[in-house]
Amino acid sequence: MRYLTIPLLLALALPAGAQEDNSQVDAGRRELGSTTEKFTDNEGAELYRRACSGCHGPEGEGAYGAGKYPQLANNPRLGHARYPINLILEGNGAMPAFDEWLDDAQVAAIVSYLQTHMGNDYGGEVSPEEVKRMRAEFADLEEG
Amino acid sequence: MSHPSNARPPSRRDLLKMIGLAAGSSTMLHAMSSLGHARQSPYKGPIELSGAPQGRKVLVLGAGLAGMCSALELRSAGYDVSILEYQKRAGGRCWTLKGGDEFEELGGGKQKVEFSKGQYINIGPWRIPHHHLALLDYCHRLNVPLEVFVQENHNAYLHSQTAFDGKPIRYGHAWADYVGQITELLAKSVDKGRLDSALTKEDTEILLESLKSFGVLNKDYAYEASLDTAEYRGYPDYGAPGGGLYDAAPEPSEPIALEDLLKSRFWEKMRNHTTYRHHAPMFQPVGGMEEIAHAFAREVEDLITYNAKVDRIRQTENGVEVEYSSADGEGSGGVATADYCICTIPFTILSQLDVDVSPEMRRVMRALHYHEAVKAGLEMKRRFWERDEQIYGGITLTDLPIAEISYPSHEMHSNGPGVLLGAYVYGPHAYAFNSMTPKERLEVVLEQGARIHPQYREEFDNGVVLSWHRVPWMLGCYSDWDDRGRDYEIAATMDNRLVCAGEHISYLPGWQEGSLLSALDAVRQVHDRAVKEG
Repeated sequence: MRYLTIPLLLALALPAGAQEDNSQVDAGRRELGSTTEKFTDNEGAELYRRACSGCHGPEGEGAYGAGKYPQLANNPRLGHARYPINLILEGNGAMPAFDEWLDDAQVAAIVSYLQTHMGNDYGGEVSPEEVKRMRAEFADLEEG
Repeated sequence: MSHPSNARPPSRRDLLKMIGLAAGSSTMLHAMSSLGHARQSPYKGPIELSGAPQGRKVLVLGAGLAGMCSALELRSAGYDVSILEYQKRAGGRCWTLKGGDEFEELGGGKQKVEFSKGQYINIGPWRIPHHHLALLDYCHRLNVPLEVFVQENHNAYLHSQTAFDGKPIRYGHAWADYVGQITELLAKSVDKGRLDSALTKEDTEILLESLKSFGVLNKDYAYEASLDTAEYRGYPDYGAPGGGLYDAAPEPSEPIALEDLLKSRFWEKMRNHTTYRHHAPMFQPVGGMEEIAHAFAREVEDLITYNAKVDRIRQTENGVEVEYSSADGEGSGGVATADYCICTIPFTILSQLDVDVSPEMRRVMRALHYHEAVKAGLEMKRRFWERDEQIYGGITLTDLPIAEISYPSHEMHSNGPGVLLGAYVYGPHAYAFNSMTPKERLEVVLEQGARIHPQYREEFDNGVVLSWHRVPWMLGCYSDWDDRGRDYEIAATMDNRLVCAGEHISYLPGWQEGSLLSALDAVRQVHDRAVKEG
């Protein structure tokens, strides 16, 4: 939990001058791994934690209420990269579309992570080019 | 049109009064709109449903505002109505958190609200535009007292992490100085004939006069530190107008340089309060938004089965059959049957259920996504924003992930505590918050808010932070249509015997008015069908 290594009271006790320090501002951005328009991490594990784990669970265990967030751990559907790439870019039901917030390399990193962690043992070598091709396919579908 | 010379022609208002007295208020409403009083709402007064066939049953899924409104109107028209609700409370997103409330989110995080008596946070919808006529009408009919909600406050702040050394700037200063200086640029260009303007000489003179007046410019069309501009942007702390001898004479205040305002990007936020949905005055129910839900529940609570998780919706030629189980695993479920169904279950959830609808409707249910949102309620021991900074209601806007701090519009000037809306987070930041535990979310909200109000460090008492994607009965905050088009028509049209309703079936996503207008349309569709089928 990188963003909370400083205990709250200590963080709040920073002198007012610290607010003017640019490094503090940058730290503030890094803390959440995001801006209002983008996720900013590059690594699959970190991106999964920021963007996905709130719903699908830190261990991919899923969540169940009136509806559910599907379990990603030990999920055979992750065997074909197209399936998670499609869902991440386009969304489906309760799954929002993340196409505007993640670039091709970030989507590839998340899918590679999913394919090789949480009990999944698949290729895990998804390339940004593959994601790029699928983006183009969806754009064609929507226009057609 | 001629009038007898000895009689004053009736004014439009007189005429309206006469029509109103003669024919009751709904005629008055209709007449007012046809006579040109702008009413920015399609709501034309209470729905009139006559000729309902005997003994027809309608099953409503969801006891939020759309569901309860549907039930109220259909029962009063003579239908036999029942409601299934997943939660153990009515109201849906019309939800106010108060001391003693507890809730568990997906992933198991639990939050107990520890606000003092009388304090609350509207964790869902929190303000009502003056043109949301359906919602206001139900508030009037169901005796929900309303009070003013302060949206725009010139003494609240604009804040940027990278401008003005990260110090907040009073909204009114930035506003007056930005308007003044862009007006100055325009006036000087016009005055020197530098603008290739299509205006006549006379119109150009009027334009210059108006720019001078609007921007508070001097005789040379300059916006500068003066007692004139101070009257609009405010006086310096040491030079406000006083009385008597000491510190009495006002002094001008120094405008913020245009260059700095441009770089701050504050202008991105300056029209935030001026969309027609945020025009003053806005309103809120006294005691919390959920008072509206309570008022509806007083009317229809006897129809509600709580703790009912819908599992399957079956449609036949003659009716609807809904299988449900107990949401908390205790107690039994059952099967509810009816002639028609109004379904207010959000599409995030409905799209996952086993529902007999057309393939088109199923496709639309899956294609509609929901916005993310994270909101925080922070109880402060003391209303420091009022006492220290003279901020009474309104909203501070920041480029920090928390995005907003809203100051309570009720109990102003009280000596007691107050609850701030400490964050209203959208976009990728909201997912970052969504991935944290409630405690971590609260820590981040406090750390960020303290950059604007250092008093947080001393005054914070307790708080809650809700991420709408973790709400078990929502899985999101409100609908996000990319392009309504044909898909919207499919979603809003009765499918066999089932019709959907809620904010997602409206052009007012996220607003309670959308839920009610959608519900009234669904009720109309059910009624028309029932009358036709006899």
